Amino acid sequence: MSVVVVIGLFLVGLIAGRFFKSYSVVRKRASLFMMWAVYLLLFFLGISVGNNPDVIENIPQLGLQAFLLSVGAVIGSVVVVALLMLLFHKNNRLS
Amino acid sequence: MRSSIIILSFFALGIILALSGLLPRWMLNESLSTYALYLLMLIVGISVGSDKSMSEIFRRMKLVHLLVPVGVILGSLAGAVIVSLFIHQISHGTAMAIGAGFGYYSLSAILISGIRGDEAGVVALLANIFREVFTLVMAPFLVKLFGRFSIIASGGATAMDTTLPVIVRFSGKEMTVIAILSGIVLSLLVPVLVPFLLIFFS
Repeated sequence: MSVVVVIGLFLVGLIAGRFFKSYSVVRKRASLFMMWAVYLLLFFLGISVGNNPDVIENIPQLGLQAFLLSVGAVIGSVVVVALLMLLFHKNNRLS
Repeated sequence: MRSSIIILSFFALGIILALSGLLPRWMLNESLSTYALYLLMLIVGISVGSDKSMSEIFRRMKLVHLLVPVGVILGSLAGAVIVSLFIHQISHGTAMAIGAGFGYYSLSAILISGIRGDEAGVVALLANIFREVFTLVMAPFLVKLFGRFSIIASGGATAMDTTLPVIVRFSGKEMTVIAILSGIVLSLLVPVLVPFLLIFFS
């Protein structure tokens, strides 16, 4: 199953990365490579979306869903953090 | 912001090329992006694992510092689930995974589209872009209504880079460290939490 592979490869990378701690070259290459991999994958996502008439037709509806989910996540985060601060954060110790 | 525009241009370019029908057959192969995703996850792991400053940051971090990212995680997942109760097209698990993008739209959209398909990927991309935009636009109101931590909470993973300027301006300079810490913790969690939520709640 692809989800297991996704998490598995991340963990393998995490462990492998620890051996490269003293090689700054590896880190620099990795972040450059990561940037291009993200560009490439979003390009692929664009291609895949462009070839999927269902998605293209539904874009307004998907946009509305995205908007609502985003509002929910933002309000949830702001409220829960505010509550946690009221409960635990006295005298501004955090800042 | 500059990199956001580049990222979105690649996405838009993909759509335009696909719609134009100019692309060669092999580029339409689904497994191509699956392998690219596998490779990306390996590289993300290597880059996190090899980062020396990261372990330094975690060593210095106190438990109270985790309150903000923990609140963002709980709040984002809860908020997204509540919204999904009213949207029948999106399952609770997918909604939570989208919420767990914390504004890190490139990685969360790639992961969610790879695991759950294009439609969910597009919603994830848009929802997490909206999150960044809301934070930038609503920053002054958030501070007035919910206090100084609210912009950091709203910004989620972006509090360490794209929304940091509005945090510094409207919450104060002394919030910089907590904003960056919270942003780093949340960014690191995206590649683990998003796939996990998709498996666990499928």
